[in-house]
Amino acid sequence: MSADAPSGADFVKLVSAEGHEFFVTRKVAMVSGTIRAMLESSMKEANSGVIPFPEISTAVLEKTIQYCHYKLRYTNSTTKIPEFKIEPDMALELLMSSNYLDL
Amino acid sequence: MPPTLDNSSDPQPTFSVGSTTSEPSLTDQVKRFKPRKFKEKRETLLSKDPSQNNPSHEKLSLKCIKVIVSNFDKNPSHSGIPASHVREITSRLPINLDPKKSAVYVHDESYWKRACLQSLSPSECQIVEHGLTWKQLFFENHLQKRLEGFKDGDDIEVLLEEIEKFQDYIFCLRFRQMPGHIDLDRLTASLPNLTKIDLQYNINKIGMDFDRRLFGMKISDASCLAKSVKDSENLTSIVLSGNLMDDDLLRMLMTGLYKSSTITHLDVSHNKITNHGVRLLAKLLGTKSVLTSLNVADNQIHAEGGRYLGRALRSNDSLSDLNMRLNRLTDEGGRMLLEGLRDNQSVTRLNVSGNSLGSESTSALSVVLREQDSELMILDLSSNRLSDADVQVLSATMERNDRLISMDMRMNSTTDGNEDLEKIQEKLHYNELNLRS
Repeated sequence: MSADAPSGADFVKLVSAEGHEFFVTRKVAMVSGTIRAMLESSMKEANSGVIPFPEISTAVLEKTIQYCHYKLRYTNSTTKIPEFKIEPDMALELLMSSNYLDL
Repeated sequence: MPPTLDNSSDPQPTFSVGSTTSEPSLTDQVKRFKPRKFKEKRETLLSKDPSQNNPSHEKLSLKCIKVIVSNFDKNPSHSGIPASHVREITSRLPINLDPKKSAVYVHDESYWKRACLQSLSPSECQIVEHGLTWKQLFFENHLQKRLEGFKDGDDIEVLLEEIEKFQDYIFCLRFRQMPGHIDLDRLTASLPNLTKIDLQYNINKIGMDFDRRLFGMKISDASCLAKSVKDSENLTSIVLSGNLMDDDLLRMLMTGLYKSSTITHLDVSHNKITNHGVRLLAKLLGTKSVLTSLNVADNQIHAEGGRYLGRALRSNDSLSDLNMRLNRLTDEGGRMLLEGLRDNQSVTRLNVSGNSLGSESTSALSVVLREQDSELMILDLSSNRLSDADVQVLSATMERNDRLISMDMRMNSTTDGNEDLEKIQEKLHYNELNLRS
């Protein structure tokens, strides 16, 4: 149960369907429009900082979080941007989850 | 880069396939429900960012779509994706996908329209002839090309396996050459939706290798076709013009046709059918016949053929369109044919042009036209030997006839400026106006 803390350094916990827990900074999580809406609203996730995703599997959630880091790191950056690789067999589920998360 | 579907300034996706032909495609005719959006329009998948080349600006969804498209060949199934993404995917799919896969997994009409327009000539893209759907057009054309390119050594099992994937989209079987002489009944057995057959056994672009024996339908083909006709339950139209078909081939074909109860249109024009063949055809016009349209134009039918058909027409009530153009009926044959039409109330179109008809036929015709319940509406008597006296007889007859709306009398032995012709013309016009009101 975390009390109010300054955002940015604060961490949120994203839980996959299998129960794996991913700790990411608030800033990274806010890349996703859906997560941002959840955290800024008055839903109970905003207070606890834990968001469960029962429809998203671990591998897909991990890839999604990698994408959030990738996007945050390279948006408006002038350095050479590497390609974000997506495995073909994961592409379908990743598409569904990115559609849900507004990424 | 394949073209994107909608213009990027309009975020609302259009569901229209767009028209390139005079008839709108079936998917456009079926009205789609478009939900009214109340909130702000969401950012589209292809946001027009000024720094376009920055890959981190691309949405993850778009990246996924690109990966799916590039792997479509190996992994075509994509169930459960929301409709807007499906459209994005199909708009990026390449045209030259394996037809076996694309038939089963791609249903977007816009994709098929793109495929057709890019690989076929404009004259082949007439969706009116293919059920107003681009997918059907594509596959019927694809099948035609495969059949026409099938050589003797090729494996038919491979072909049949391929056909099985898109068998639902073939309603009309058509080819203009078949050097491999495939078994037609095996072919039609794998085409459950087939309603029309249009075959011609020619050879395209043969040049100096011309050999008369290569042309025309063979007995084996005819027997296979007879078998497919017998077994089929939804075949309605058979067009076999220009196959060098003689009476024996016709007899072979008839064995199948007699057993069929679904054929309504039979076209054996431009063949070599004689009176014996016509006797067989007349047997097809019995009391239980369902044939509505028969075309025997440009054959070698003599007067006796006219007698057989006339006799058959006396007891037939299904035939409405008979075309006997360019045969050798002569006056006597024409008379016997028209005598058979006297009590017939189903024939509405009759074409006896180019048969050397004369005065005997004219008197028989006038008896037909004088009947109160004559149903004849369109009559073609051009290129015969009708004289001025005949025209006078006809003009007198027309005063008593209210059904006929078209009579073609060109190229006869009449003099120009014949008054009777003008009188006939006026009566025909009067009949037509009456029909419309």
